[in-house]
Amino acid sequence: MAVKPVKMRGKLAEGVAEIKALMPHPMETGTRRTEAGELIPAHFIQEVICEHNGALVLRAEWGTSVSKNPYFAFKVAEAKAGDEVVIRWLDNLGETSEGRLTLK
Amino acid sequence: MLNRLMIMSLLLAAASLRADPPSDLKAFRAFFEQRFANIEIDDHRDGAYALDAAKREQWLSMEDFPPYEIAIEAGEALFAESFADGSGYADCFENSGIGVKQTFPRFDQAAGAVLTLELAINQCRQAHSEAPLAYASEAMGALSAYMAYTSRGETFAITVPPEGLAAYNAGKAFFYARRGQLNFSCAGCHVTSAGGMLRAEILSASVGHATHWPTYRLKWEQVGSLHKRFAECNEQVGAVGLAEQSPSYRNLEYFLSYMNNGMTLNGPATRK
Amino acid sequence: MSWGRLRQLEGQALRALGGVGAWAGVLMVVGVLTLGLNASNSQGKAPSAEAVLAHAMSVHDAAMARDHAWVTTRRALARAQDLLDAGDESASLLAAQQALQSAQASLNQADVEAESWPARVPK
Repeated sequence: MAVKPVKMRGKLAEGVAEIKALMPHPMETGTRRTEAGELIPAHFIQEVICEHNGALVLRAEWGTSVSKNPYFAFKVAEAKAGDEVVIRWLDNLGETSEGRLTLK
Repeated sequence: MLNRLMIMSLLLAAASLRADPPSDLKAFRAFFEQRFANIEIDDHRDGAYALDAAKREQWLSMEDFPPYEIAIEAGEALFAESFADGSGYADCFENSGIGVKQTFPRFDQAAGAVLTLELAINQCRQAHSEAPLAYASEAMGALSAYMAYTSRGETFAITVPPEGLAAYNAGKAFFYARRGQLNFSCAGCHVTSAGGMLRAEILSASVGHATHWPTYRLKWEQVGSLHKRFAECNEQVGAVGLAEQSPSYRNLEYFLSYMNNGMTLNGPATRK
Repeated sequence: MSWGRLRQLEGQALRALGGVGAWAGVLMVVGVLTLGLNASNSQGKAPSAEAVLAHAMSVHDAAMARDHAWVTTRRALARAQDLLDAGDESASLLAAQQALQSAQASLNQADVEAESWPARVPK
């Protein structure tokens, strides 16, 4: 399955940016089985890193309780137009992807 | 007493069979206009989110970044892909398949049966020597989601020609008949008890049930069809669910879509 | 089991379940009574689990053909088959009888609903 980029939206109001992200990812727990009865291997996002103009603002450790195609929203303080917000994820199989947003 | 009941039910049965689709539609809409005096008929396309402010708020905040977006993008890509013989979906539908979902389902005179969008998609594939897609597959969901998206804002204007009346009536009978061990009919919950509670959920009105498909149900974690929902609902009342695109479900979709005539399409949608 | 007792139970079931689903109550009571009658009949010539299972399957298929098959029938049929395969004849017979009642009730529902659905159409 090809790795897809993180989709991002941002709304800036009074110095606070509300960031919304949708991360296409199968988020397999490793406990589900196929119709034939075989276990589907675990494949889930383990780490999420968010950077504001290159500085780390948020780090999350995720596990198997997060659903498929996670929707993730957070706020960034002291934000202004032109700032760049980056969301990067790393999964248990070593795959990675990211999304970039320039605030307006 | 029993004789009177028998005469009553015979008269009512006769009256129902004499009723034509336009009269059915008028009575259907009138019922919901009276039950929900403060809600426009068209607003019922949002289902339970038109009936509960708190649920609506949560749903609207999700609409900022809806989960079906991924399916629409995948569907757009699939739609643009050519078949092995060089043709594509655009060659099978009017207007190249853009903004046509509101014209389905329709009565296919040649086949003598109801034609739904999903069935038309597979007929298109088979006409061009491509293997049909499984109705429950993500690919079918994505294609259907994309085509529904291009029809957003259009209105239903389903027609029932004389040849299609039997299918319409079969769908109508299915809708009003009680089924399963729980002995519930579609109408029992979504007409008679619309707006009421079923366990912890609010029952949505049938008027608006055909507009927002396919739907990303959070429970399914993918986009699924109206027929999948029919089967799920049937199983929940203890009735064995039918296969997607079975004749009975196509007839039911035909009746239900006709009952949604005049309403605005708003698929694909998110539902719990 | 007297007719008087039957009417008493039917009345109780109807009152307990109210208007909506009253037919389900009637069907369930009829089903329970049929089971009782079946058990007493089997003291004479006991039908085989396989025979009852086959009968239940055909009634279930008839209900399926009319879009009125029940999940309970499906489950009981599966249970009866598993028990039969495991060699438990008596338990399989019981499950097959339950499947048969459920299948008969579902077919009965198809008959009842064919007549009664028009009354629910809004005028």
